[in-house]
Amino acid sequence: MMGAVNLAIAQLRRAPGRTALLVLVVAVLLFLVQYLAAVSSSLQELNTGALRQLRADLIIYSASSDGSLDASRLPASAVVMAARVGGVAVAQPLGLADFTATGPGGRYELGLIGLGEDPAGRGAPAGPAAAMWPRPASGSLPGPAGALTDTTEVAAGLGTGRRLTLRPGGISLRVTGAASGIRYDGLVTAWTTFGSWARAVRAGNPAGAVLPNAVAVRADPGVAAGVLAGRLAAAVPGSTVLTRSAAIAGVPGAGVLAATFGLLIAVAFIAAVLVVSSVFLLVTVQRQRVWVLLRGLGATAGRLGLAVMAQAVVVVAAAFAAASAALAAVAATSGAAFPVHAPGGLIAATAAAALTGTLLSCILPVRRIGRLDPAAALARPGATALLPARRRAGDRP
Amino acid sequence: MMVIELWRRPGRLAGVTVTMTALAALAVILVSLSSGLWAGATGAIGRSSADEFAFSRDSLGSFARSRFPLTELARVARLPGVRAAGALGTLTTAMSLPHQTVDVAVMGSQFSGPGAPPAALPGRLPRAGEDAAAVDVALRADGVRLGSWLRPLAGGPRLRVTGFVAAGQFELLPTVWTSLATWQALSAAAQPESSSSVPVAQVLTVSLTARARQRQVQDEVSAALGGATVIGRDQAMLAVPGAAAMRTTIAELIAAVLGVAAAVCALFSALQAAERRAELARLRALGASARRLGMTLLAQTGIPAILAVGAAFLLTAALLAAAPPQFPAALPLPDAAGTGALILLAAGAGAIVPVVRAASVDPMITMEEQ
Repeated sequence: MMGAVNLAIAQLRRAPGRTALLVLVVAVLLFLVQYLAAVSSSLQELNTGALRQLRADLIIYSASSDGSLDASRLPASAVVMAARVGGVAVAQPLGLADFTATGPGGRYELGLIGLGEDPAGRGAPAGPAAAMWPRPASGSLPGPAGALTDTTEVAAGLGTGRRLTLRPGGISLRVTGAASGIRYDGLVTAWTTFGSWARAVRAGNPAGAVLPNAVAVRADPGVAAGVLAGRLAAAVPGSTVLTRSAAIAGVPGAGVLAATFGLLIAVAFIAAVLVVSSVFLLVTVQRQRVWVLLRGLGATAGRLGLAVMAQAVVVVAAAFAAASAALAAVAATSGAAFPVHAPGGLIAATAAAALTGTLLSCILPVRRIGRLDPAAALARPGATALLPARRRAGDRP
Repeated sequence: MMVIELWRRPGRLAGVTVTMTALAALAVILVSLSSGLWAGATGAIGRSSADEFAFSRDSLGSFARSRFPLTELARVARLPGVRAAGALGTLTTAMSLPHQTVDVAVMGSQFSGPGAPPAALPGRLPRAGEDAAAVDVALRADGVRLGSWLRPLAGGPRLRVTGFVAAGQFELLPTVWTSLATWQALSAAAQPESSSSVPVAQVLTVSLTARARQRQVQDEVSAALGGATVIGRDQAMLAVPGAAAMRTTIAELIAAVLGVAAAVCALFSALQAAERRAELARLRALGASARRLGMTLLAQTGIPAILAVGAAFLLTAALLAAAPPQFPAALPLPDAAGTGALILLAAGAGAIVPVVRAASVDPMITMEEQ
């Protein structure tokens, strides 16, 4: 095995320019695959993170909303109706509105999510009321006039103790903590109590009516979500009840986004495999004389095949390392507005796919080496020696 | 000679062509997505007759968060350099159509002012005080006809279809054009927190007189509206949520794919030139000119690239035909031609160095080495 690897490295070093160009091409293609996968994953997280981190079993939307949190509005009485249903542990109002926020880092668009009635006093939600909130990575859950921000926004100045002023309306919120992956609709997002949210929305347009977008529900232990969904739909008129996973899948554009990126990733990956396969096939054909000589000197077809595979693996491994480093650099320099993540799972998955693709790409070159007949080739040196055995068999007079 | 050389190794021609096809298909799909997403997100604004769009001060150029009372309109219309002023409101909501329920972008407009859709063909634009709409021709596929009724699921007035317009999409949704009063009623039903007791619009639109200085008019409109953000049509298109980021990201990906295509062609050309080095030396010794040999090698890269571009377009067209109607991709002819030309240019650029090196082979030295 080590002999095959040494042979592979020696062959690669004999043509350093070509090897560097091949590594560069494969690295860019693998970077494209990784970058597309990372962007897709980040977009999904930015668009649906709030629903993923909301620790609810079921979400009640208005029937007319078609499962869209933005489009849904429920009467305030829906929360009381839902809370009275048997099997419901906690039912809390959920609100969503966009503001222009002024705070550290300038002015930006901010999605404000309101969850749960204000706790008594000015403290943070506690007990069953806190069960639905995302777990803070730092600081604490917000009480009235408090806000929980995303951990990616801490670096942009939205750390604990900072203040945000919302326009229109001029309501001010103080950041009490940060949680991971709680953004919605791609915006910088802050979570506050439903009471604070309602005050902010009312201040923006005093003539408007403030209603919850949805009701988040946690089931009692042992109560099946499907059964409870049926009871809630019957108890809250004009509503649609979705499990959290169905609500995430139903976020507008999520399905098209996943399909689009899936297509791009597949085509980029196929291109990478084809490039590696075509180049190593060409290289194998070019070096056929060398392979024939090595076979004549006693090297087995298996060992030479291993050498070709080792060459491909070395090239792809170098390219993968370069692509992963580039992705890590892009992730490190991405801003709070659109943070690109390069999670270990994604790197591992692309590494496994790249290795599989590399081995698949070696099928044709290895087959070519396996067909070599060293005795016949050495007996008739010259152009004929470069042809595969099957073709020479047809040359008999 | 170039065709014979390619024909002698059909497997290699196929291999190079298939590899290039995958890269070209990636570029063409990205261009299709870019065109489709851009047209779908901003089409209604891009085709607008308005020159300038005024957003309220704290909206950061967002249609959804911008708001003006309609009383401001008269003040803007009186400013020097303003030929006419209009108003626009947008709302994304679900509507029940004859065959199914679809999400649409309701566009409230003063049909006499800038920013209104072009004349309805067939049919007519809604009249003042009428709960009616002129709708995107794309909604014909959902069974909408003249006289059909659209029922907003969130409540508000039902709309009778009086005409069809080719006004383009907004936020990737087909547009339904109605009066500002009807838009306001629909908005109040779908988003009660936005309801208002006075007539309002989200954005004020302006068309300029022939000799108006755009920058000056923008400043005056902004001052008249208490520090509003006033931007031209192109910038208003970029203000549509996600449009600018999407366009930049896809453009970067297309550039990366073109770079890869150039590098792959360089690689293939270098390999082919190295493989045929002895043969090229013999041909040079027999009198073939360096130019002819160079052109032969260039053709060996160019012909697979041309075949690949053709195959990539066919592949993408098949994918687009099979995709669901809401898939945001389109391939306009100018974009398609431009992409094809860029891929061929990238292929040619990649092949230049290996071709020049191969053409400058010294026959004596090369044959001695062999």
